Amino acid sequence: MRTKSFLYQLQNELWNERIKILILGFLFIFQVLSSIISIFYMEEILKLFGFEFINPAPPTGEAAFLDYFTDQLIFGLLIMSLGTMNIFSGDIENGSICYSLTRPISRTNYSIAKLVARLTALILPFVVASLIGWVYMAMMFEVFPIERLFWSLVILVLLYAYLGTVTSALSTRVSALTAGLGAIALFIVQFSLSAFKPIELLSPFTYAAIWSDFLLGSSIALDEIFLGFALIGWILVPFIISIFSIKTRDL
Amino acid sequence: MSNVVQIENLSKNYGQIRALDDVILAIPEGSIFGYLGPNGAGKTTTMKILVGLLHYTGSVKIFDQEVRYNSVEINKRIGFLPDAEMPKNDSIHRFLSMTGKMNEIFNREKRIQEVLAELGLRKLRNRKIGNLSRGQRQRVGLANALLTDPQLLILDEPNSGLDPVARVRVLSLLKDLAKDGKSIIFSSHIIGEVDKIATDIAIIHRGRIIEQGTRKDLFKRYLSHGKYVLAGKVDREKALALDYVKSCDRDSLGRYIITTPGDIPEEQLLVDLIQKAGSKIKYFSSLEFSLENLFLESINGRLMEGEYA
Repeated sequence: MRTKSFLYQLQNELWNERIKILILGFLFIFQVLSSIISIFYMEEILKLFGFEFINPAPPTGEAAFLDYFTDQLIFGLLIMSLGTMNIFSGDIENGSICYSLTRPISRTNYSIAKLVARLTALILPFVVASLIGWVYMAMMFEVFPIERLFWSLVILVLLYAYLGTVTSALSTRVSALTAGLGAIALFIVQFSLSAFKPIELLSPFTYAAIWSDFLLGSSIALDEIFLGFALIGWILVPFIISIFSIKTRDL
Repeated sequence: MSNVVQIENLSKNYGQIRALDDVILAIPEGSIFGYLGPNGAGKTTTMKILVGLLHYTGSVKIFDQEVRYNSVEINKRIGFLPDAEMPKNDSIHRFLSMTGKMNEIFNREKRIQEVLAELGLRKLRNRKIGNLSRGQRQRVGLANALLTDPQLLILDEPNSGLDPVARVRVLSLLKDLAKDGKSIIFSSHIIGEVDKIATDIAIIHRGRIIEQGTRKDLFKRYLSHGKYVLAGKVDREKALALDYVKSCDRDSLGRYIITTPGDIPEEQLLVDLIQKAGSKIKYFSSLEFSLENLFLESINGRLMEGEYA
């Protein structure tokens, strides 16, 4: 019964997120393709308008694809903060949580279903768009390192999940606007921390940097790779805080 | 008759504000329990505690189970209508279907059609909740509460936003449900409605229960003293000095309510005595029992400046 009610709740939440998934999907696909197209066809596009294009380095599709991933860090920060800032506060403020929680579902299952659905809605379009971009790359270059694509996706998915769970945890206690702004402020501070030793360990972006070194092909020690897995811990903490917060608060 | 709800020493604070203060309530099985009180008295807080939405101190038992530990199990047997918004993007059918699925209702579609017909919503079943009028949304909330055929219904202002026809229909529906053995707890600002259907009544004010009992009990208690209502310029101190006057208080309508130790031999005698004691009476009448009078008198003198019942 408990698993069933969890699955029904998850199904319902995913249904509610369908528009978000579609819009974000188009947005990400547009972004990945525009990165590649602009590098490849910029010269011809500019020529069409009578401009001269001077590019000292010959464009490569791989560079365009890496560009896309680098842009995602900033883009993701905004998408995840804006996309999760009302995850709980919205329902709490308008009272609709009263209807959900008086159905036979525990607060824990309700919170997990909401978190999983919202994170999926925000991250899935990114993964799909990246795969489309990769297919496009593979067609143009014939060979493309799938291993690096995989790890770069893993890093960004983990970082996105972190950004989303932190904002969600804040949204259990404060208004949507405060949660969104608070989360962005926290990410900026944490991003800055990653530049200083030894406090860099307090920043999840440090762990992400280890992964991105790997992505860019630098040789890194095995223990550093394992350290990268600490990013999962950074996701679990706000995830558990969100559940605990909903469990203990008045609604 | 056993109690479906048993509340003992229930207290609830919102920061520094004491919303409920040592509430003791017993709601008999099969009763229609009318919960009355001014705005902010603690009615919604009590109802939210009953369905496990708020944490509390004290003991709250429904079907002999403590709500604190068993709210998920208890909620399977409760239909709740909160004073809250519903998901605006869901259609009526989808919203009810979700409640049906979660409660594993047998023959769900049939049951949904039944409640929709009962509340005059059949034609609107595919309409988005966000596009409905307030009264229609309220009826959807009621349909949601009734869907699981619950043993206990907890309804926070069920008639709020409804037109007169829908109000009459809802009140008659509640009566029918009680006849079928369901227990109903409902709050209302409209005293007349509580008066019409409630078998048991409690009045709450500033988090404290100030009157509670069956309609019959309250009637008996109320008429144990002679009660009169008068309007005019009354010298309260001098009136209270009279042998026939036990109490003299202003109610929230600005009238004076006089209580005498028992029935007086003649009403005119009391009028004469009070007037002789320096008062100018414009209107005098014995106070009939009505829930409205009981309510006004119960909270008499307890309202703060600027506060309305």
